[in-house]
Amino acid sequence: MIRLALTLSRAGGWPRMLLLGSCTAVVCTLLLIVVTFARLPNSPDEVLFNLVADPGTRVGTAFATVLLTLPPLLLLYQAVRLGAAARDRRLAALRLAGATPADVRRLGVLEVGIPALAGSIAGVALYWLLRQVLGDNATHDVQFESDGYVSTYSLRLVPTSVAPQWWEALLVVLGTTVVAIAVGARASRGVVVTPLGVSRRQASAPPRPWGLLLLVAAVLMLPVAGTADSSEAVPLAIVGLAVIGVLSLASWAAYRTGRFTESRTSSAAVLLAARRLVADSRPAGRAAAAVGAIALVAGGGASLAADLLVTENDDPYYYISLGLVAAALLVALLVAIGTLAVHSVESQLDRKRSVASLAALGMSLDELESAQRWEARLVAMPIATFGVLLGSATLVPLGQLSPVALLVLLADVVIVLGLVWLAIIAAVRITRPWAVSAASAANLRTE
Amino acid sequence: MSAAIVEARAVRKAFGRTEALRGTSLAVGQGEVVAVTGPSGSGKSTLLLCLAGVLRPEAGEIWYDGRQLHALSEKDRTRLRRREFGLVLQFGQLVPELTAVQNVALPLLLEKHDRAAARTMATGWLERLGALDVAHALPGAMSGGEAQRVAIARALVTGPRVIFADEPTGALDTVSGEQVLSALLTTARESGATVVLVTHDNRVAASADREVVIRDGVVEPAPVIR
Repeated sequence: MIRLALTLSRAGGWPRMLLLGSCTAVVCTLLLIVVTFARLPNSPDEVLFNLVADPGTRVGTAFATVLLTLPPLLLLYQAVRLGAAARDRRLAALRLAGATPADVRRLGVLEVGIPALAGSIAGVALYWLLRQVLGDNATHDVQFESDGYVSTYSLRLVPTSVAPQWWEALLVVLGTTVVAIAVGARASRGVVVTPLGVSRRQASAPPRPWGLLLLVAAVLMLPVAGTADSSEAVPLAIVGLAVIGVLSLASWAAYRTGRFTESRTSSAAVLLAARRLVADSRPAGRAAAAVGAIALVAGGGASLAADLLVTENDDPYYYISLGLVAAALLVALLVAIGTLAVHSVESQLDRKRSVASLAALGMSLDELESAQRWEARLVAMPIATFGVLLGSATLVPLGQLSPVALLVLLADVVIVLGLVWLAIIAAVRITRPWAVSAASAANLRTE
Repeated sequence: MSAAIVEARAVRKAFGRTEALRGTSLAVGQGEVVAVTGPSGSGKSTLLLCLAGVLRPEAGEIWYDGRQLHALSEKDRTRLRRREFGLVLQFGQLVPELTAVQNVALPLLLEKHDRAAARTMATGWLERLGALDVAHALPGAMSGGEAQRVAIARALVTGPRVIFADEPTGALDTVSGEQVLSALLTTARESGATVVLVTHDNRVAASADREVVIRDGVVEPAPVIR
């Protein structure tokens, strides 16, 4: 069974296996870092950046690290769906050869589980590497001079005085693998493999805006967070609810934008993109969801930066912290580009006959690519705009609505939306070889 | 036969080691309906796609209205296909996410027509081909015959000078096939368009002005003249 699963995995292509492994490696590494934070005593035996060293902010840092696992998990979801049509045909052939439905399910688990387990084990190695890179005291200190005083900040982010126990590491490795398998199973949900082929149960109803409930809950919790005796868990819960709320809204936003656009455009590329979103908004929504969450956090960060500027707070600690958040967001955006690119490839492979016929009818490769870009834009731009504005609204309770603060927020909105725009161009551009392949006349005759 | 509007001269095309066309020549006159027949794998569809500028031959020449089609860039061939050719394929190959009217309007939108005008023209063609009932249906909800009528409307909506049809009735039952073929040929003849039709159905071939038989990638020397 394992040998067969390996053969099937190889047939799915090394890039898919590599993507699955890489995603689980990153998730495993981040979770091991969280475990390390948890093992750190209140007064660490080493010099660390305050966000990690201070027990008051450490919980928030750990929480943010857990949130950072969301973009690679979304990428993993897309990677599992990559080449789904060819994979389904292979599984149908196995059913024809005598495999039972249970055999096919087991093969599906192993097909994702093997690269995921390998990736998780690689994640342990990556964690040890990060301990060296981000835990090396000698090379990560920054100094600031103000009024004749020199203050030194260590940028050590990963503790090295403590490490996860072997059983904790094992739990993280196995847990990550199980999560990857669960994500894979969800991605293959609704697929019925029979000896005569594969059918997919289409989602019967368009997505609903359930994410709004989470956002309302987050807003309702805001007054509680402002009280002096509130728990430190309240702001984290608000951030968590807001992030998951924005992630959950992406598919609904994709559907609504598609509906709105299809009856208003005179562009063939935009019409194609809009109709694809209306027909099935969930894959594109999931691919762009991380962008919304990134924009939300970026908006929140910009609010804090605006508040610091207005109150003339020049403590470098805050600026370094915001710089680290910005760096983490950029890394997350790179992962999101990967997710959008994988979705673009999946979209083209699944529709290659339709794409080939469009090319034969006279739609150029540039126009086909434009449709791909619009499909991503119609989801990512509204959700990013919503996210960044929602995050920027953090400034309102801070009470710093000065012209300078608004200018900072405006700059943040422009930068975030500009980066998302560029990310979409990059994501579609790197998938051009698949676009060329999908448009090939050879696909006109394939069933 | 009137002066050739589209012509293949000693065309060769291979897919890997398989040589699909081995020096094939064919000339089709303005307004003529030509059926290309032959056994499976004989190179009929490859010849059609070469004539339509979808495939570029490795050797030989493709001429369209006095222009060397094979020598044009991909961009120019794409533009030419969009403006001057109509293409109907065996399974319709409609865009599954678009409704019938949107599928038919698509070539017009590619040519930068206004949305409302494109929609009006598309609706007119659907009505002409008896497919108005499915104007707002998705291809998945249409019968094979309805989908082919929509595909024909899409091929004709830009007023093409040449229509290339690859087994347009191949996936249909006899009655639907006859209706679709009749719709295609009637509207093409009314508009004076040239039709190149690939089929292995003798009844379909019989409705053409001329039948050309292709075998092992070569047009047989004695085509049947009707």
